Amino acid sequence: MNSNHQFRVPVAVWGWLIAAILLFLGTFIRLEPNDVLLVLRRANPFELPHKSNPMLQIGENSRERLVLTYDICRGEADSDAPLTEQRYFDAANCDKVVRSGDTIWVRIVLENSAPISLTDFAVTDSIQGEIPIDDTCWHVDIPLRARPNPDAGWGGGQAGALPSQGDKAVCIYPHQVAGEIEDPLLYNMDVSFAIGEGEDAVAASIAASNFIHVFEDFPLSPEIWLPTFGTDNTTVIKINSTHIGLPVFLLALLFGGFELALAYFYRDTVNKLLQALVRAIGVFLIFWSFFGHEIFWDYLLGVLFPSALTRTGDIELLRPQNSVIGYAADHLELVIVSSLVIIPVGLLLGIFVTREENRDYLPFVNNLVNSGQTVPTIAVVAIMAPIIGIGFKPAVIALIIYGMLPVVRNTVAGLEGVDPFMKDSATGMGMTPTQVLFAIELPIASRVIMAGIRTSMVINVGTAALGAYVASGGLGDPIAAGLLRQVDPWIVLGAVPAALLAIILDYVLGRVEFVVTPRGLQIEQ
Amino acid sequence: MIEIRNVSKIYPNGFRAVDGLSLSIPKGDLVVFIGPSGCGKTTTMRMINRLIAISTGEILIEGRNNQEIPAEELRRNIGYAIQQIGLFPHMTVSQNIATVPRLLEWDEGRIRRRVDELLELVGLDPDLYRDKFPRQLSGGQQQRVGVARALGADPPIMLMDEPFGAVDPITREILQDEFIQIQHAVEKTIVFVTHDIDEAIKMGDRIAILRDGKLVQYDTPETLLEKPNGRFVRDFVGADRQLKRLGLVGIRELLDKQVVRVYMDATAAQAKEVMEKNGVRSVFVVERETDILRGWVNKEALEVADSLLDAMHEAPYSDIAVRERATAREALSAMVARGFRVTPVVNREGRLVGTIRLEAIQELAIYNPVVPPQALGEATLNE
Ligand SMILES: Nc1ncnc2c1ncn2[C@@H]1O[C@H](COP(=O)(O)OP(=O)(O)OP(=O)(O)O)[C@@H](O)[C@H]1O
Ligand SMILES: [Mg+2]
Repeated sequence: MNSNHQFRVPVAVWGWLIAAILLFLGTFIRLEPNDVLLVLRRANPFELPHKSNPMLQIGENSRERLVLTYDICRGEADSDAPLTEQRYFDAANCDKVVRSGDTIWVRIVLENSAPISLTDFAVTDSIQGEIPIDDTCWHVDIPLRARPNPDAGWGGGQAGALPSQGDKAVCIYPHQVAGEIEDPLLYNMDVSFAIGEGEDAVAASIAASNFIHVFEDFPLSPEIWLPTFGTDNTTVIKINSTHIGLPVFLLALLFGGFELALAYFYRDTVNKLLQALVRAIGVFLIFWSFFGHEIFWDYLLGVLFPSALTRTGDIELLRPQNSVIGYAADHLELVIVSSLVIIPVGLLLGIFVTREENRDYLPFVNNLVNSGQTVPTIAVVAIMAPIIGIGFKPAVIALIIYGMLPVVRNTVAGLEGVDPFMKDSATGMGMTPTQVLFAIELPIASRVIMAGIRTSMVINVGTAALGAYVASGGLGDPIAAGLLRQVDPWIVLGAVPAALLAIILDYVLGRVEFVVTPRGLQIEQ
Repeated sequence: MIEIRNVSKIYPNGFRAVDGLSLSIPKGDLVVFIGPSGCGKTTTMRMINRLIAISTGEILIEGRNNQEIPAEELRRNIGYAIQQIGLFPHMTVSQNIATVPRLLEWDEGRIRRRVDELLELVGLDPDLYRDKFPRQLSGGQQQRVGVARALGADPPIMLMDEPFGAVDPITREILQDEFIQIQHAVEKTIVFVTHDIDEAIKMGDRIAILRDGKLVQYDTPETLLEKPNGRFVRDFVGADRQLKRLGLVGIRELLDKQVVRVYMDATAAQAKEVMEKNGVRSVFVVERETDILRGWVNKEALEVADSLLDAMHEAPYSDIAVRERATAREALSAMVARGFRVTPVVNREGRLVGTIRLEAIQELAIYNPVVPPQALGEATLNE
């Protein structure tokens, strides 16, 4: 081992240090009283409304919040059976076509997970074109002590209360849809309540609205071509001051330390992969913690885009319904799942067409994968949607078609690039074709093949953003919604993590590429 | 024993790269294929280990048709060094050399020993080169590794396509000598391709001269030089073939062992006495006891000098003598270069063992038309 190498503190360590200092300074950011956020949101705007998951956040951390969930379901108008929650909220009923005369059931659940007291809770709601059947809650499940009048139920102008953390109220309202139904139906809800008691009580209200899609002859299905982000069902109101709990800067310091230790222990040898992985994991964790502090993120975006603060007293929601890290995870899932298919299939295809006996297929396969990349992704997606439907699958298939080219092309180029004399002398020494492939051809071609895999995956990080058009999830959702509704913070929210994801992936795969290249081939000639 | 029987190779484009070739390579012999570029040397070789399919005819190896032996088994028993070297760049030198032993599943210890042994053999220090990668070697070093790799599993048959093409003349000579020794020691049957007629004459037990896929002449080097069959071969072996033939004759037979000498510690008078007694005008001076050649002395010089040491021309033996293992051609060349009519011959330690006169070599080289007139006529007609 060569111990002449002087130990030098890697540049990255200084980078971590600077990051730690910045993050430390970030902990001094205190949101002003009345700055804080009450967020009502739905998990995924493309999912059916009954799976929605709006939340109200008011506590110090993201787990302490007021959760307001509302589900919408269709029931049959002429039912005489007893009204139970189960009956109206099972999946079979919810997926039915809404016709004139049907009853739509709205279930509202309010859960107080924050250390606050909630009083004077009241809900009024309406559906466009409805004939209100009854203004009172048909089914209630409210802690007894929260009910003003245990026999009267809750709602319809009557106020309820959830005085302590953990209290939960469930209420179901029926609405009958009448007359000519327009698509979509608009559902509106107003929730008002007070936080705190007596003199200190702060009044708050949330207005939420949601489209309910109705197709006469089709099963209920969401709108696919125009992703709609529910700005309408989201509102931020100011309640309480809060601050960031977790010191993220410690994480940066920790990774700076890791890098230092690695650089020290591997000062004599090349270990490019381990360092790269530690670095990537560190960036990811910081990023994740950063977004985990949703308040901080809201604050930051609020500073970056002051115009997004529209209404007086209210901040329009800066973050769309899903958490960014959730979008990023969906995004990565798209890329990884498609790559899990692309890599083995691409390799096998590349190997297959370069075998002497299959040479005839080479131009055919070349054309096939080339045309895969020529066709615009959006077209592939568009063709896929009517055939397979929308969601994860068509997006993955589009990505597979799109990402196959670099892998196949590089596999072919790598294997063709192996000096024929190399194969010749291997065969001449008595290797079987399989041995020649695994012992000679693949190792020599490995760098080029790996470069193809890297290109394919990084390209697909970009391409996956188009998956928003088939509701595949991923970082394309906020981008598409932001573009559509001209909400800049949303675009940033999708674009920045997508770019970061591509960079991190490229960085890590670049190192993998270096590591899989046999040492003898790393020598410059 | 390799027997090539009426073998032809016709490429799909109709080109006859090898055309009705018949040739038998005796066991333990080194046969050199030589001929102009594109005459089918490589093709013939590759038909032996079945890298190229034979179009017509058959090749027998130890009496077995090579088509009947499974290709991989056949090739693992035939060492093959290709013209382009073809070392695997992702493997170290030792992994490269160990390729065939690994295929044959030798145990690791044996492989390690074998690798070191082979590296020594081709003149590369194992400790220095074992873990190097091909790209860290010069062309000549790569070629040596290529030869070591072909020798890897000690195969009874070797096919070597211009194995010394990329090494400098000095190393090439060393490798040739070593290779001849290996060959004599282990009695391998070797097919050796070269473009260098001198190399062919030096290495080959027999030489096959090919032209346009046909065998023109297949003989021992001596016969080839003495009786080239036709103009093509004559041109091919070159105008100096008689000189080349001298290269095949050792000087031992020409050696005149009765050498007049004086010892270093003799006086001038003693030296003069020796000269007069033998009727010569100069004598060689050697050390007493060891007989190591130190120089020579002329009668004229002795006349004017006080002592033998003052009069003698002192020179290291390597500058004035030829080795006893040299060929007549080398001796001649040394004499021409130094302007000697008589050259001293020394053994490995420098001991004077005899002298060679220029006339003796001349006699040997005198053109001696042993070829019967009718054979010459035939050859001329063939042109
Ligand atoms: N696949 C092929 N198709 C047609 N002709 C070929 C093919 N391969 C080789 N040849 C021809 O066969 C002839 C013999 O080739 P070969 O490689 O045996 O020559 P060689 O004697 O080894 O020459 P060199 O000394 O240059 O190595 C050449 O003229 C070459 O052009
Ligand atoms: Mg050749």
